[in-house]
Amino acid sequence: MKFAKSHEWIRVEGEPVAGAVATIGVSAYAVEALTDLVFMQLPEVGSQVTVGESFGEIESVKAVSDLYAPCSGEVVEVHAELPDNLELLGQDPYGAGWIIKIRLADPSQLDALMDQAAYDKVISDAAH
Amino acid sequence: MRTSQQDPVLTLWHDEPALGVINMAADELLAEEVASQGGIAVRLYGWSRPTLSLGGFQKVASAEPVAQAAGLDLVRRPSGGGAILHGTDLTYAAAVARGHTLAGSPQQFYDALHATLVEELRRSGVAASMVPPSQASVGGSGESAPDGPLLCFDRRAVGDVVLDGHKLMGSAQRRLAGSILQHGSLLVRQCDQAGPDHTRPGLLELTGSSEGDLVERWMRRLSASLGLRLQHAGPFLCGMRLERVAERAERFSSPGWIGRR
Repeated sequence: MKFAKSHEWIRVEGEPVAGAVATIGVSAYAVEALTDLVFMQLPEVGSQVTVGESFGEIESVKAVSDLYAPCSGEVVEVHAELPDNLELLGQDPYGAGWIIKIRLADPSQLDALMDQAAYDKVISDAAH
Repeated sequence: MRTSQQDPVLTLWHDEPALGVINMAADELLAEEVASQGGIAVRLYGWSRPTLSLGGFQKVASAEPVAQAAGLDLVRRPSGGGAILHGTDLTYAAAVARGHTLAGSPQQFYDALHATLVEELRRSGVAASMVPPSQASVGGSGESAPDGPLLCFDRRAVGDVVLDGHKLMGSAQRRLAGSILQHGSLLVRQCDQAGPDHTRPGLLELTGSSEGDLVERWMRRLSASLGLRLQHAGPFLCGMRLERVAERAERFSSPGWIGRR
């Protein structure tokens, strides 16, 4: 699993090659920071997401936050039940709280993302 | 790399009243400038026409009848929260760069603006306070933000500024990749434009006096609390920005943006 600075995670199923399917979600840290999630807008299956650009939005009581794609690709599956069950994001952000699955366009984009240890350090530094 | 925490300045912009779509476009540009330059900036402004601004996810169908009946312009903010009736309020847009400690969670930036306003009001003898979690009507087990009461001033979120049970100021954010944009509205005096059902008392009705130099004192207190020097930068809407703002305003006035939900 790899993480973007904007707190999205991505996990590739199988070998990280072009065309591989990858699952995308948001980190536990991000979910906890937002608190009281109330609404979510997701992309359509078949749409394209572009690395670093918004692919959806999530609203908490005080904030609308963009969800940024950690890698580019075509959306092949959307967790359609998630907007009506936003508690899943907090309960199981790396499992049942997944958001979309994409077909990777360029696996080299994964190299620019952080592993768990590097991401944990970013979170730790932000807290101090 | 320059970071916001090394920048000792809180930049304060003060604009003349403008159309809603211009204000929204200017605030988006403000957030982008802070994202690239770091630091914290606040833009204070008014509205050249009475306007109802919708929260980012509110349903337009719930607001259109109110706006049409009262002859109000209708815009959609990039930030969340409930609808605001602008005309007798003081609106601010504040932006802080990602990486600054205030950008960690929505409540931190929210509280920084609200707590300093409450402190300044109380120094003037006005017993304002912030809504505690036990009295919030949105969030937790309360109503959802997009589908709650239409008007922001009919909602109670943790940290809202209240006086004698009436809301004086509420705020909401847009959390972007490089910065946090926070909108807030201080109700200076009651607005009768949308009829009695949507009229709420403001600072003038509740205290007998208008804001006077409250905003200047609030901004000074805010900058001091953050350890920053307050820098009055004049109007944000000037020079090269005017063209960039006008281009962005087209998107904010498009049916696709206003009617997105």
